[in-house]
Amino acid sequence: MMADAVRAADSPDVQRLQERIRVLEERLDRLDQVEVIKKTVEYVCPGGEIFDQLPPGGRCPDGQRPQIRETVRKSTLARRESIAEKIEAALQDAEAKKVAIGGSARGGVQQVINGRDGQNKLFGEGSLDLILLARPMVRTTLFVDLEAIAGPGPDGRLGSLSRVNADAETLGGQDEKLTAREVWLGLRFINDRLDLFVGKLDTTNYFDRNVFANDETSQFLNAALVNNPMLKQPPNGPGGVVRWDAGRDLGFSLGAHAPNDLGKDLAGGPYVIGEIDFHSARFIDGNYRLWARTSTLPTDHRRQTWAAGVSLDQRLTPQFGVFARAGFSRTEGVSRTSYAASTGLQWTGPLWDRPRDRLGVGYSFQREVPGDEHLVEAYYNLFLTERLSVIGNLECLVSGPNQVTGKRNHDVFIPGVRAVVGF
Amino acid sequence: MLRPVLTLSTLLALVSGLLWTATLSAQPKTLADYDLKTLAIVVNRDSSDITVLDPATDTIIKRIPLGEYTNAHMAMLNHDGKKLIISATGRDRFLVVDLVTGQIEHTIVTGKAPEHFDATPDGRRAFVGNMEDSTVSVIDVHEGREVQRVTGFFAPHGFSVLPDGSKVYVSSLGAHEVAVLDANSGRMLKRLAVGDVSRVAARDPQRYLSEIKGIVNPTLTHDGAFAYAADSDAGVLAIIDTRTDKVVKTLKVGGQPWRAYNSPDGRWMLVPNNGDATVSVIDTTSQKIVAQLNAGSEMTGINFALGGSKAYVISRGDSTVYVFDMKTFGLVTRLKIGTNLALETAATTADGAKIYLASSTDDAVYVINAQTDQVKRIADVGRYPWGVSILAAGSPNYCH
Repeated sequence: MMADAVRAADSPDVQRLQERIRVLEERLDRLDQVEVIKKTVEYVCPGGEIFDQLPPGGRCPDGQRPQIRETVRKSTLARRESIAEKIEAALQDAEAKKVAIGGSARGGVQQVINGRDGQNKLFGEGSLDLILLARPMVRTTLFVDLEAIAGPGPDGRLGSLSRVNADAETLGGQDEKLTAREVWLGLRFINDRLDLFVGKLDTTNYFDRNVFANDETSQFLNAALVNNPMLKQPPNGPGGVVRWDAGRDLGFSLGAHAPNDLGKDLAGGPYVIGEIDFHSARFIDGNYRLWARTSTLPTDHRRQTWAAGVSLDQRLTPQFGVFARAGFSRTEGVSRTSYAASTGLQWTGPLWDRPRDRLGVGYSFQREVPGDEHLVEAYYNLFLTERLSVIGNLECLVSGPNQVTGKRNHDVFIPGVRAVVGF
Repeated sequence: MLRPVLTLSTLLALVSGLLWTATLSAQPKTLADYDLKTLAIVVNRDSSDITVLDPATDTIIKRIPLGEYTNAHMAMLNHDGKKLIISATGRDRFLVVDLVTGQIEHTIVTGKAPEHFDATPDGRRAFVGNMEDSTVSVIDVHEGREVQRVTGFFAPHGFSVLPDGSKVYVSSLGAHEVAVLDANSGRMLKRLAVGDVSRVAARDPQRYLSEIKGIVNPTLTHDGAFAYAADSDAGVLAIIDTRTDKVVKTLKVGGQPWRAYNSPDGRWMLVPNNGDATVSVIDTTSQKIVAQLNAGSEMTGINFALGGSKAYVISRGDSTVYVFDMKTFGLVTRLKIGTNLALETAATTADGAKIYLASSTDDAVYVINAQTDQVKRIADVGRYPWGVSILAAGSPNYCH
C-alpha cells in the first residue's frame, strides 16, 4: 500500500501537477499587482539629464539652470499599496485645484533720534498681506495680493529723499489703506521660456531685482536699499510684463505700465521699462541687470523723463554676498542729472548656531534737485521659527534734504524693530 | 590465377567504399556539424521552446524545450557562439542553454517578467529588463547567477551595450527616458530625458494618464558613438552622444515612432511611425531626416538585406512586408504574407540573402528571398513564434 503511494507520487503525471502548482503559486503575486501612471515633476538639464529633485545649488552639472516640468511615469505596485497611491493622487489632484492662501502680518516701530523740530518721535506701522494663488488653467497663475496697512513712517516729518520706511510708502500719504495691491494673471509659453504677466502689477517685482537688497519685509527698510530711486516706478496699477528666457542664463524683460492706479489720474504717457539680466555661476552665484525706462512726470504729463541703471549681486561665499546699484535720470526741462548709487553686503548665519539669521549693511547716495543725501543702514534678521522673525535695524541719515521742512537732516538716527509672521 | 583475385579484391574494395559513403551520408547531422552563428533561432512563446532552423535548407534542425510555462520572450546566441541566452518571462528566470546539447545549464532567478536584454561583447554579462517590477537584472552568464538587481527604471524595455562593453543604454517604455549604466559596476550613471510630453499631457491628461508609450529601444550606431532613441508619445527621436551622454539633437519624426533600425553600412537609421504609417529615414552623418516613406500599419520591425540595399518593413496590421530600395527610397514591392496574421520580428541571414520572419498566430516562419522577393512558409515551428535571431546576422537582430 505504502509502496503504491510512493510510486504514484513519483509518476510523471503527479510531478507534472506539482510543477503546475508551483507555477501557479509563483504567479499568485502577479494577481496582486496593478500598474499606475503618475504625474511627477522632473528637472531636466540642457543635455537631457534628469533629476528628481533640484540638483545641488539649483544648477545642472554644467552650471546651467534645469527646466522644471511635469512628466508621467508608469510603476507597478502591489494592490494594497496602490490604494494608498490612489488616495495620495486624489489629494494631489484636489491640491492642484484649490486656491492657495498665504500671507504675512508685519508690525514695527521706528524711533527718530537726533532729529530737529519735533522729529524725535516713535512711529508705529502695521500691515497685513493676504495672498491668493490659483491655477485656472494649464501654465497659468492667478495672483491676488490684498494689503491692509496703517501708520505712516517717519518720512512725514523727515522728508528724506530715500524714504526711510519702504513698507509705509505704499500708503501714498494716507494714514491707512486697504487695497488690492497686486492682481495679475501669469502665463507661460514656448517651453516655459516666455512669461507674460497682465493685470495690476508691481513693477519692482520684475525689474531692478536684487538678491540681497530687494525686500523691505526681510532685508533693508530704506527704500533706496530696496530699489533704485532712479526707477521712479508708478504706483501699482494696470500693466503688462513679458519676459523671455533666451537661454545661456540671459533674460530679456519688457514692461508697460499705466502712470497711476485705476480710479486715479491715468493721464500722461505710459511707463515703459526694459531690462537685460544675466546670471553667472562661474563665481558661486551672481546676477547682473541693466535696465532703462521712460515715462512722463506725474506732476506734468507733458514732460518726459527717462533713466537707466544697473543692479548687481554677487555671492562671494555660500554665506556672504555683496550688492551694488547705480543709476541716473534725466527730466525734460531740468538741467541737472539725478544720480543714485548704493552698495552693501549680506552675511547669512553670522552667529555659528543661527544659520538662518541674516545681517545686512548698506550705504546709499542720492543726488536729486533738492540736494544730496547720504544714508547708512544695518539690520539683523533673527529667525525665531520658520514663519516668525524679528528684525532690528538702524538707519542713519548722514546728511540730506528734508523735503517737508525745506531744511536739512544731519546725523539723524532711526532705530527700528519689525516682527514678521508668515502664514 | 592472380588476375581474378585482384579483380575480385578491387571490386570488393569499391563496393565497401560505396557502402561506407552511403552509410555516412545517411547518418543525420547534429548541431555540432553546423556553424552555429548562421543558424536561425526561433523563440516559441506558448510552447515554451526554441526551434533551430537551418537557413541552407529551411528545415527545422532541432527543438529545445525550456520547461513548462517559461514563455520565453527573447533568445539569442551569446557572443561566444555556443550558448543560448533566453529570457523566460513566464517563470521570472534567465536561462543559459548549450545549443549543441540542448541542455539548460543555468536557470537564474530574475525580477518579474524579464523580457529584453543585451550582452557584453565578451559574452560575460547580460542585462535583462524585468518589466513588471521595473528592475534590471545583471547576469553573470558564465557563473550562471544574478550579480545585481538595479532599480530606478520604468518598464525597462530596450537594451544596447556599447561595442567596447563599457556602458549599457536602457530605455523605459513606461517613461520618457533612457538610463545609462556602467556595465562593470551596474551603477546608474545618468537618466536622459527624451521628448517632452508635459505639454501634450496637460492638454489631454486622460490619454496620458491611462497609457504611456515611451521608448522601445536605444539603437546604437555601429561604432557606438551615438544612440538613437524614439519616444512614441512625444513623436521625437533623440540622438544621444555616448561619449558625453548628452542629447545632442532631437528630431521630430512621424506620429508614434516605434524605434530606430540601423542599416548594415551604418549610413541610415530607419524609424517606423505607427501613428501615421510612415517610415522616417535619417542620415546618420548629417543627423537629419532625408526621407519620409509611406508604409503600413502597426509596424513591428525593419530588416535590411543584400548589404543594406533593400529594407523590409514589417507591418503586422496589414500582414504585409513593404520592400524599399535604399538607393532611391522607392517602394519596390509589397509582400502580402497572408490575412490576419500577426507578423512579429525577423532576422536576416549572415549573407544578407534571406529574411526569417516569425508569424505568431499561425505558428510559422516565413522566409523571404531578398533577390527574388519570393516568400516560403515553414509551418509548425512551435506555438506562437515570437521572434527570430541569427548571431551572424546581416542586419541587426532585435525583438519587440
